Amino acid sequence: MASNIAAIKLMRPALVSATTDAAHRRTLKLYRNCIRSIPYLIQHFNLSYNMSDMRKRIRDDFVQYREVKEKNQIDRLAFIGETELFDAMSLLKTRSHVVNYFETKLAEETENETEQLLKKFFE
Amino acid sequence: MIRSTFSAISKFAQPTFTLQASTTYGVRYFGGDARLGEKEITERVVDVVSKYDKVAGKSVSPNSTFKELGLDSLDSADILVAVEEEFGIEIPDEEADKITSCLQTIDYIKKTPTAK
Repeated sequence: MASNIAAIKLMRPALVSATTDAAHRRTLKLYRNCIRSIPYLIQHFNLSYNMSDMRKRIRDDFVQYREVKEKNQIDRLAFIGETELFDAMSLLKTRSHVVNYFETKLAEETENETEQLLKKFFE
Repeated sequence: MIRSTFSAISKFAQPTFTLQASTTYGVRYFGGDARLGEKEITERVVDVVSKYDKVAGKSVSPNSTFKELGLDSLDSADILVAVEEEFGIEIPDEEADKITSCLQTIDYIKKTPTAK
């Protein structure tokens, strides 16, 4: 029960941005917070990744949704991102969650890597 | 007696921060103006920007905007975080949204007394 109350205290409302511009600023703020929290993530979860690789992984997540123009969609994605970051920073996630996030590269990258491997192989 | 000694002390004590801190560069006094010089800020900002991956090979001047250097909004957010680390400050979100060039970054740091 006690943990339930703690969870309710941590619950935040899903904010709705007034304009598309505000939603855009919100995502930039989220991105900045993600980048700032990388050193803390390394410290908390004892990660052994390159900082620029981690930055790239987070950046790919944002670039993936570059085409999204609708305000509500942006708000939804920003809320998901904020929640994920909050969970990671407040140690609600375990190490394996965070490692899993940084291990799974987005589709394009893995293709490129395999292509490179094949090229090396054929050479 | 007390008044005369007090005036002597105040005469002696006053000019040390006001005159010297403004004229000398690079020497800091306790209780004096500890803000960084404009030249130093400019150098360090340009250094941080030119160290960024996507800027490699391009010449960075203090007047160049991030758009001219081929950087998008996420890149400029990256650079601002790097600048924050360099100067040991935190740029609040409203300010960070407005900054789109090296010159604006330098101006912001000039206004921030805690930058080091």
